[in-house]
Amino acid sequence: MLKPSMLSDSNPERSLTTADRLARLLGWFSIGLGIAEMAAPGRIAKAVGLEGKETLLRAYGGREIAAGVGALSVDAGPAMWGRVAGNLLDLGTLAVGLKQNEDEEKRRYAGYAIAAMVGVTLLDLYVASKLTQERSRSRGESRDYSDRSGFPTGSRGRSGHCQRPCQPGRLPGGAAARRWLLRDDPVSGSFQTHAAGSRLRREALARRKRIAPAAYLPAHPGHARRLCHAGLHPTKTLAEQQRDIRLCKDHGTLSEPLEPIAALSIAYECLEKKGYQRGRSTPALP
Amino acid sequence: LQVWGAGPVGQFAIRSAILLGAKQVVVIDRLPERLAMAEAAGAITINFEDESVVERLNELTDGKGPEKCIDAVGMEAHATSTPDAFYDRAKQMVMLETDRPHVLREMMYVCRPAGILSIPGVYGGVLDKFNFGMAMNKGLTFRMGQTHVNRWTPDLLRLIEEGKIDPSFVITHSVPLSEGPGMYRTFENKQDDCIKVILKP
Repeated sequence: MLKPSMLSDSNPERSLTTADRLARLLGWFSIGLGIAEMAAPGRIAKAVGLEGKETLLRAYGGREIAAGVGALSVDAGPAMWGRVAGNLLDLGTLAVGLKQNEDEEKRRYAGYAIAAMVGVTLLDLYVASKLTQERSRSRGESRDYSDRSGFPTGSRGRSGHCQRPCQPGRLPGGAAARRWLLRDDPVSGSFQTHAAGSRLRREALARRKRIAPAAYLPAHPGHARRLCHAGLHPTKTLAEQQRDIRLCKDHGTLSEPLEPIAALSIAYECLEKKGYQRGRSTPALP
Repeated sequence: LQVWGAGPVGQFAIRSAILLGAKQVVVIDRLPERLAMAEAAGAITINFEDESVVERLNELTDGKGPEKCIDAVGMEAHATSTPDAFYDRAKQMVMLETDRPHVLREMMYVCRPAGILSIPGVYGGVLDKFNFGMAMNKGLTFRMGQTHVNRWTPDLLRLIEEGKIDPSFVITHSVPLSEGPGMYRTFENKQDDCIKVILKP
């Protein structure tokens, strides 16, 4: 059953390695042995001098079948280690049988069984460790993928550096501004109750057309940097800008909790005092 | 927007999202080389073996969860330390379950109410312990399929022609067809930082 070609582990033309094939073989062997132990525990017990331990043998049979099913699955590793442990248990049980028995013939059979078990255990151990070794990720030299953005124009997505000089952005205007500063939850959409129906439709359309809100708000400092935006303020760091925005937003909504438009202009005034610039078409003052 | 899995599908999900104007793209994986590639496109990365996905997501979304979730993992999730991962492994071992839907469960849990779950990750059969009541009562939308290739091919080819994206970034290995089986092994075991293989006949 073992052909020389199977023994070359790194043969690139085969997807199953020797260990994979042996695991499969041992899986079927395990199931066969399990069925024998389940079906005829009496005869086996008699042969190796374990009379009175039929129930135990049946349980071992169940274990063998479970390990066999595992060894036949795609991930045979854990089941093979389970087989190694189970075999040690079997060996212990056989040794007890050998010790307790006086009958010369039965002792001989138990001896054969132990010899066979030792052989199978060694094979199991080889397959289990081989599988574990083959499945492990080699910790060799790792490759560098940090330049693989996939964006050839490089205007966005290049990590760590800008292709173009970064310009500070402006505070967003129009519908984007309201959404950006006032809406807490896109589901409840609290600001929408203040907007007329037709304007709502226009905004929905604008929302669909609008691209790259990353230009407005540095959602995450690292992210914004990678997308090559200096943010909204020429000198402050992104974390500082985020704090300013949060503070002014809270200031606006606390001053005018029921009037989102008024709250927005208060927030914008607050931000302007801190040196931020409005974009075009910022919402009119009420 | 949140992407689970930074394999080739996940990598393109990230870039598509950025091209479509996503404000914040977060990606979850456990392999450093894949996270590095995702980061190159501008995504925020979470290594689920080092940090808690739910905690980090709460932090990034002000506790509201992502609006859109993409499962680019599918049935062979490699969640390592969660109870449901052990459960799925055990059931799969004795052939009582075909898939390991850890990612789907997590998406339903973290996604914002009325959010969208998009599932290009492949599932093969029977899923277990699937909290559909949670998805129903959060009003989630499920979209799935093997990425509707025919529908989008012309649009995507145009993006390449216009120079908006260069899909070759994802290719890490290029081998003759005869070495295919061995390369499958390398890919399956995530060796040699393998992400995408091109087989040359």
